[in-house]
Amino acid sequence: MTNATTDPDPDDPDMLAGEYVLGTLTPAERARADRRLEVDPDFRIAVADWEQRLSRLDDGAQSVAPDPSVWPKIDRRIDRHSTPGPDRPLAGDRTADTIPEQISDLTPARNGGADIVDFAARARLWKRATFVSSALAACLAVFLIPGVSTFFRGPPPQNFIAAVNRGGTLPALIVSVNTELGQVTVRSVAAETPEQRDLEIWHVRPDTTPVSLGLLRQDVPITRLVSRSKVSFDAQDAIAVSVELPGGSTTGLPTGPIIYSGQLIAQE
Amino acid sequence: MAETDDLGDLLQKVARRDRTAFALLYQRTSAKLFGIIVRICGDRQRAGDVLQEVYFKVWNKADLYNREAGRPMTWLAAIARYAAIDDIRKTGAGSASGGTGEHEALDLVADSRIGQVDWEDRESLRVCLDELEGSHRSCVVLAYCEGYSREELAERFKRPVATVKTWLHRGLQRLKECMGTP
Repeated sequence: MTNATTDPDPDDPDMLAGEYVLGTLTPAERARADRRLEVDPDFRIAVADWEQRLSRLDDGAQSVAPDPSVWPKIDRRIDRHSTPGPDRPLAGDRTADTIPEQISDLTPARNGGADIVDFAARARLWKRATFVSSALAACLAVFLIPGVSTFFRGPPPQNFIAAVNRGGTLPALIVSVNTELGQVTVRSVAAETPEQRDLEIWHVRPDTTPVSLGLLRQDVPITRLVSRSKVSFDAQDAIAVSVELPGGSTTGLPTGPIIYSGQLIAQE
Repeated sequence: MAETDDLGDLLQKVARRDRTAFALLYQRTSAKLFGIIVRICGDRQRAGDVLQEVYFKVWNKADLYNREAGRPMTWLAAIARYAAIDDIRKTGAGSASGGTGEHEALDLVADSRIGQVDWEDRESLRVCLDELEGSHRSCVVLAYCEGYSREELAERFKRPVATVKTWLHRGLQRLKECMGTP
């Protein structure tokens, strides 16, 4: 039975997302899809949706006790490689009530000493196209982009806030957006800039490429940016931070790893 | 007390480097994840290596899990599945290349009496899988559950790769129409 008119377009991104989850993409296709996951929120959602739809197939797998020698190996490996804290940021905190009113309300999640953050290693990790990084990014998409109806009651609000997070309870940046004034204010709390790099801040919207809002200032805790574009801010949007060479990206898109991300939450 | 924590709580503690919570998480989830990996890798030895990788990743990325992204077990299972598929693609081994036997697609969706319950979810997938043409269903299920590549599916069904790709897409499309969007 042929279905010339109803067959899905083979290049349909949703089919790409489905085959991504099935694991049937070719290596080249998967590498492209991995890159797409990093910059395309819609694609991340599509992959996350397929993961959810198909996940019940996992139930059919019989539980099998692993060999007792496996756990000690895991245990020892962690001993050898342990870093003081999570070594991969990228989790947005979507609940408005966890965003502190004052910077002074924040307490450090970890005591003393700097986290050892090896950005070179992280950049290499990002370049390696592995399923896991992308799958996790895809999982995040489910909560990064909520249904619009949960936010809007009446006319769209003018102010947004994003807690741009590294995971855990301590946001790295708090971003406020005043759409009326076109002003973006970034308060830096425990943001880490690697040496000889700049952190660039991006406005990430569905269906389109990220727009740079500018660079994070390292000399003062508050960076004020004026949105140069006429791009509006909506509750589906997110703010992302990438690591760039000094001066920022020259391509108009993030060229370095995206190390923080957080979703805009409307303030009533 | 970690013993009474649910998996989500344990993951949060693991994110804060709690080794006890991590050990408990392993205790509670490793058999299921190992089962998923073995189903794809075939070889238990390799599956053991993949399992190690998976829990090392879980240790390092537990901070990325958020309840709003889904159930903890789903998140863990995704990591395990992807790691297993990564492994068999690298080595060319796996259930598909050595495995024999037919699996009725619906047998691979668990008996609803066993395991955690989200009745509507499971029923929905079962019902919708039922609606697929047999060849489309088999392709989708063999790919997801056993890690078949397009080439391996083509060999199994004695069809060109392009045909198998179309079958996969039709199967996915039909599933999406039937199940909707989560």
